[in-house]
Amino acid sequence: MRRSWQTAEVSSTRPETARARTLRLRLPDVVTGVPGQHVDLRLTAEDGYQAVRSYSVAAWVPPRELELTVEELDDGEVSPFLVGVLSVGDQLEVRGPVGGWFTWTPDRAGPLQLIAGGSGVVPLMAMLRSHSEARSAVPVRLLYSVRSPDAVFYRGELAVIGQENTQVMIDIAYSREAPDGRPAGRLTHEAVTASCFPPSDAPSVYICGSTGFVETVAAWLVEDGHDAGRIRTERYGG
Amino acid sequence: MDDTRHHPLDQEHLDGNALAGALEQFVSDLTSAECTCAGCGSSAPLAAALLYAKAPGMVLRCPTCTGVLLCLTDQGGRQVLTVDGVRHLVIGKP
Repeated sequence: MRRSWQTAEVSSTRPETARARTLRLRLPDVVTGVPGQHVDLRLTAEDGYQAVRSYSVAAWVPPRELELTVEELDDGEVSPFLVGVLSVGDQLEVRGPVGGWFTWTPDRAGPLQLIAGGSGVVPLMAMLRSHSEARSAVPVRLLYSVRSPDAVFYRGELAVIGQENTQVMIDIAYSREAPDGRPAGRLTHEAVTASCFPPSDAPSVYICGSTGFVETVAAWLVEDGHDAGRIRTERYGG
Repeated sequence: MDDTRHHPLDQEHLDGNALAGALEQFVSDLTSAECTCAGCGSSAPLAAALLYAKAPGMVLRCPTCTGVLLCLTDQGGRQVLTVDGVRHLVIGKP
């Protein structure tokens, strides 16, 4: 782990949705990290004003690169710049990877239950990618709650993983607008229960999303009989 | 004659330098440490506590009683960590 700030360069970008894009950053040194970790980015304005924000790592690209997916927030101070302005070749200050609790490695016991609200899918995608790369035999279920079909991150890659990897089941729940023939509506307790491993399977559960999403879903799972000690949560600022 | 200096116990103490290795464990990732709240006595990883980052500085509150566990403030470029609300921090798997 690096504790000091280092300068990274944007090596490529790609859009995920109309409001989100993935940034690939190249660091000066070899970087190793664990799925679920994040990095801090520090931006400095011409007048010296600095802003620091945390972003989950979506993918590790050895030896020196990593990817972040950033969604533009309406009242954001940093995200509109990262999504709309930053270009290949630009530099950013990066600290990390950091964090050691909301992390998963293929040696962790039990099936893996991932539950994402919106852009909370980013660190869970790092776990899913790690699971695929390790050809892990651990069964995985991902429940991804999202507003509408055009807000889905990693759509093509999720479809491929869901079809090709028999260990992985992916459910996407649409809250406002759904593809043809599917219901849309607020995520319910019943829908969450139906998309999760039962408590008897003792899954390791990771929930990431807005504070309200995380607290609501975690409370439902505890009500269903899941051990609170196996549920790990990460809230992001709205 | 200085009593303290020649107290038998006094011959046995080292100094904080000898803790450097043991304390390194708390540096690698403090957010995984199990924190016991000095207010209500409940325990949870620091990562599961509630962070209020829009306060002047960062305020971390107990997820059970919402009492303040710790505050991190920038004071002229120096980072000051106040830990009044923490009874203990435990590193390592149970």
